[in-house]
Amino acid sequence: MARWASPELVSAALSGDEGATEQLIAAVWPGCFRLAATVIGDRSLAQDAAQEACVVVHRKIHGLRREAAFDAWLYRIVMRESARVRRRHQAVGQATFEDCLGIDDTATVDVWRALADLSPELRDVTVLFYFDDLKSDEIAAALGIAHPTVRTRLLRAREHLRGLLGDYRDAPMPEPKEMKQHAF
Amino acid sequence: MHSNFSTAGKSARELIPVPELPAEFIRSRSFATAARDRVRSFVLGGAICLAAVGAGAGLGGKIYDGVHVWLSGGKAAVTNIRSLTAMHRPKAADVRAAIARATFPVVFPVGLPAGTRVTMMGYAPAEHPNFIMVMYWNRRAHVQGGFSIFDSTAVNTSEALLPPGASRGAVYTWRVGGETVVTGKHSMTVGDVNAVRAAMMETSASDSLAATDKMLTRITMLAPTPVLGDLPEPAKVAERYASPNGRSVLLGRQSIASIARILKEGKPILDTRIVSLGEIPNLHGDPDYTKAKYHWPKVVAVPAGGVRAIGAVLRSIGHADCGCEILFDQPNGTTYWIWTIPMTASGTVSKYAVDAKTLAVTPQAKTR
Repeated sequence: MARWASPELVSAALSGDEGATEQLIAAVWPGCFRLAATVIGDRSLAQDAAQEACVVVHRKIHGLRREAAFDAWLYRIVMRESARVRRRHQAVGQATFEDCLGIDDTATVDVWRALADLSPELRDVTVLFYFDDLKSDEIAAALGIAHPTVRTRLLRAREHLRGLLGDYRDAPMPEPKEMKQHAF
Repeated sequence: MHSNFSTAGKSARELIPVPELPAEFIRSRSFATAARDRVRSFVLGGAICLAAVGAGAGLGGKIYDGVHVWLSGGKAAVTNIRSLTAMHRPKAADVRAAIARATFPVVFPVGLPAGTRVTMMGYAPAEHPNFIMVMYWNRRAHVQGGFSIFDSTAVNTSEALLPPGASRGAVYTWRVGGETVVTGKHSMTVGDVNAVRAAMMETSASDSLAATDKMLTRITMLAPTPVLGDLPEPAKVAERYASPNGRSVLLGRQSIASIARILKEGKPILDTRIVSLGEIPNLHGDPDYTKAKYHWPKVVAVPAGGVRAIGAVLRSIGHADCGCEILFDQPNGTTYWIWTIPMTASGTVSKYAVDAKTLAVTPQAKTR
């Protein structure tokens, strides 16, 4: 799992240091926004979700018991707020990612098109697995779903993405190690 | 398509331009929701599940408008709770005011691990409580939960009378004199629960109150402090300077930011720790506290003169926002004492004496 911020900064925020909490929020803000943007596909809504996630961090960081729990906790918050924003704006169910297409590099455009073509549920697990390198049990915790559900969704997402990759069979997507272990 | 979807995705995401951090929005939203959140956390984090049903619905009405609790098979349900008063970081005077009106002699939990602090207290109904709930926190001893104390006359054991849909939580329960004690099974270790039970059997109401006093704060905490968590650094520092008279008030940055506006209005700063919930509706068998009527009693924490004194100190140090928290005290009718407490442990605490009539500010000692 990727680290959102240095353990020292998280520990200082946990101890009630208000200045450290604000530094921590500044440190995690870009990651929160980009994660939300990747799963929502809309800059404005992603900003709403990231803001709400940071409000939760500001309000509740002091109640967190262990510094080591911070990364998983923040993933859960960002994904929950993103899902909430997405529910509130049902029309965005078909994400376009147009706002995110700031770069006309072919690979980047292809990534956004592939994500836009996935349902929100499949997109969530895809982003956390491929972009954030989360293991399936960590994804389950971040999304509040069962471990087998994560594996099923990952399998479906891969099949879907393979379809999109039809023209590139000579350069297939790599099989993630963890999925091989689960005999997918 | 890039042959490595993972690498391409990570690169693509790094290229997304990030908007500026809305720091002020986050801070103000966080503070604005804190009061309501404190109450919600208190209620939801309580020792047992609270379920509200219509007043007197099949309950036998032992106590008019009071709280009824069902205990059966290691589970508990509370019904008929239509109103609730909750307070964050109660002081000795708050606790005494609650038990003075209670329908039973209250024996508080004793024998909790050293270093345990009371974070919240609630009771219902407000006029004559037959239910008192106290939340405790001790990071080191893994205490994070509450005890509910009921007038035993409010307790039912007949499952047949339990209203359908009432939520039930797994609990430990025991009786001490005329009260029934209930605590959730996940609040603390079995050993600690047994220690509390044994200690309560041996204590008296007055001794338990004296023991509880040591777990309370002496400060009116208007600065944000967590419901379940240690006191933030400025609050810990403030406790060292607080006078024993119980009149010290700690103001957080949000309150300090409002000083200029309050000064213009000539108003005092009110004690926002206490909130009353009334007309709690029932939603799918559970109480919907978000739809209850919230009422903050108009209790003055810092009088208008004290606000002027704080304003004078802020002017004297040349900052409307001192980047600190402020401890306020009025030792007598002629002087106010004001401490500026930095947000970090390494900063310097400054004390000022302010003349109540002239608002002349006299800097006192600076300490770390």
